[in-house]
Amino acid sequence: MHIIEQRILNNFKKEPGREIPTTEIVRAVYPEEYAKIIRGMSDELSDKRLIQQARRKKGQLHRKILYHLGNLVKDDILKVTSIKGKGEKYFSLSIEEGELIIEKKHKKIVISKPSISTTLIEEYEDKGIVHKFDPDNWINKVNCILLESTKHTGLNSFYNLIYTCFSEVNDVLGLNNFEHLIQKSSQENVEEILKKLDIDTKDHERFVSLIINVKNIDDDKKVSDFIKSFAKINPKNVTLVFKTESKELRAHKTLFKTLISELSEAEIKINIHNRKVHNAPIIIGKAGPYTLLEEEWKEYEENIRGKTMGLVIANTTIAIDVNRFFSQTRDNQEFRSLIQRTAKTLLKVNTTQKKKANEYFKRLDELNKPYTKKFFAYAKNYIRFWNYDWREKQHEHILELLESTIQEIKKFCTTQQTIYRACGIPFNFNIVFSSVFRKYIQNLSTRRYIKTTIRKFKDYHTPEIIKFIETREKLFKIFEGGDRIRFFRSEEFVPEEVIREFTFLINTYELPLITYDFRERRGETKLTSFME
Amino acid sequence: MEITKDSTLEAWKATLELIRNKGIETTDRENRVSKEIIDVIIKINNPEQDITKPIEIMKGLKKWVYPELEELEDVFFKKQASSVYYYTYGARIFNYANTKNQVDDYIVPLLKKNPSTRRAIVVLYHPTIDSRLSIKEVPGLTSIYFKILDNKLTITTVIRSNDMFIGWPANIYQVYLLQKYVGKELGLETGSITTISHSAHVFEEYKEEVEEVLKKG
Repeated sequence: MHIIEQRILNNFKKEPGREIPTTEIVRAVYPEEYAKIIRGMSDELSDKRLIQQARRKKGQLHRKILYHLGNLVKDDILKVTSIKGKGEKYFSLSIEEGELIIEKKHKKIVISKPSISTTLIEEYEDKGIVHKFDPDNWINKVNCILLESTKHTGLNSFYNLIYTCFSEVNDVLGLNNFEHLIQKSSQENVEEILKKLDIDTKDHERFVSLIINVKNIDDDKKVSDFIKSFAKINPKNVTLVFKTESKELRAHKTLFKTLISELSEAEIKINIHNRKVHNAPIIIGKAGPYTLLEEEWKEYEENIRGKTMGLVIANTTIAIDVNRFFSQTRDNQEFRSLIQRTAKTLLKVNTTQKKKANEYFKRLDELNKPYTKKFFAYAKNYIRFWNYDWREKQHEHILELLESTIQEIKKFCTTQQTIYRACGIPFNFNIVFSSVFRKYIQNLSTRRYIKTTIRKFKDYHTPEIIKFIETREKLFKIFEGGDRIRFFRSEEFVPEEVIREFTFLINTYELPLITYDFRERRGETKLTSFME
Repeated sequence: MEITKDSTLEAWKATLELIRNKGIETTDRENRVSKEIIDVIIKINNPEQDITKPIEIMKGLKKWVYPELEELEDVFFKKQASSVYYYTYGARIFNYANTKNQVDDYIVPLLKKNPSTRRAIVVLYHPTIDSRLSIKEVPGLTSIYFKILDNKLTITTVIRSNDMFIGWPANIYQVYLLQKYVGKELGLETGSITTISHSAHVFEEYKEEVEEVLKKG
């Protein structure tokens, strides 16, 4: 076996479950050469010719590695799992599980990849009812991490951490108290980071939620400038969440006027997180929203904040297409049984993930030492539901069904924790329910749902909107993993009207996350209308 | 209270019956109700004949996911401390305080050198780490004592808090594996296993399942 191929495989031996990008393999196989190239490319004193030379050398190393990677793919040892960004190939072991013994010219490498049995849900996966989130990486990455902006003094150092974490998550990073860095940094720096975020989130197919805690804003001008830059760049995989309460809407009225006018013009959603109802951060990912329970957040703020870089919010997600399930059977008992099977599968995934944590989450461990256990302490597993519209005749019972099922699942989790602890395997295992976003996966059933469009303030007093909101309030209590209520805001308006609507919603209802979608602003719409 | 039986299953069932009949009802800080007896000593003369039987029964109930034998072995023998588990028995036994392999560097050489020793004890409880009010997860197994009697290696383990229905089947299997390991190193047969459970309890929520187990032949 060629020495380069051995070196490549040693990387997979160390982390058999990982999907590794070409650049990382180059860096690991040629550490010294690569370091020299990077120094040459980033040295401000290097002249153009030297930079070009470094780029050429980098290209050569990539080609060399790709040649050997190609050989390993041909021999069916590795496979290309994805191509991201500007064509960067990602590789992983070709075996799904078990032991891979590679023998070439008297050299033998044995790589073992753990197996996870998902037979409990396979039948439903085949029917398109159950969908794992990112099945290729569902045990070696976590879904969602919250990073604390306040731990950093500058945007650039924080960005390095964000970039490192892109390879540790498979959905979203939430950047808590991002206003801290906006107010500390120059406008140019903020804009530069937003541009980087835009490119890198697309390249890595990751999402980022910027959580702006309005309570901490003391420089409205800087935040306002940030909003303008955000609207101009319009990063597709980055969301803004404003954590606030009604008195802050009044105190920062000019800022909110700017943000409503800038973001609505650019058709960017505004997410209002009502702190009075739910204080733990809410993060918006590709799979759906993520959050913590209130008591967990309180405990984190009192005992952990500052010791770790943040927290893991979610480990693993499985989605259930409710409409597809009930189109095949009307049996509520079978639905409960499916949720139990899903919960057992999540437990198996979790125990495997935890067993292999030293291997899978080596970087996260290094970044959080000696508090890694606390960093992982509140991570949840998600069961998300798709197409469960309770307003349709056939789904009228769904709220009660979900409500009783989550009680059963909570009991299951408590029992499993007791069992594992009693056996000397002390870990937290919790499952929460939440909703799925359309972009979760392609193969979800077509949803015909009633979208709720607000044309003017008085629409909030119509019986159908009141009923809609009140039912969502109930659902929020079941979906402890987070949920959002979305209103399409149509027709022309002045920002003051929208501020009034936000204030009304915040003060009247127990809704933790309110999303305003402006895509219909100029269209003719009815109060409620169906959409595909 | 002391129970002596020849097989693992007999010992387990006798203990469950004892707690069901004579246990005192207690409520823990999570409001879970259990029946409890303090300081229960269980001696199994020949555990090897059916050491995994209680685990098989637990698995057979199919209500929960009981850890696989391999998983139980792994957690007991893995030297490296986990970055996510609060503690692991393996790290406490084989890499105590990141410095001491209590079995390979102490128990085995000690028993080889002095077969009649009374010093062959492995400690899993770590006061510097565990005796703090803020710590939520503390090892259940606190110590394991090895003694050569009649040319057989016997073992006695102290369990601080012992869920006799759910936890004990795993605990007894794990200490048995350690007994086998040390016995092999010493070239000795394995003898009895004794567990001393300070708080031997069974949660009331498993009442039905306990009855099911007791009814089985």
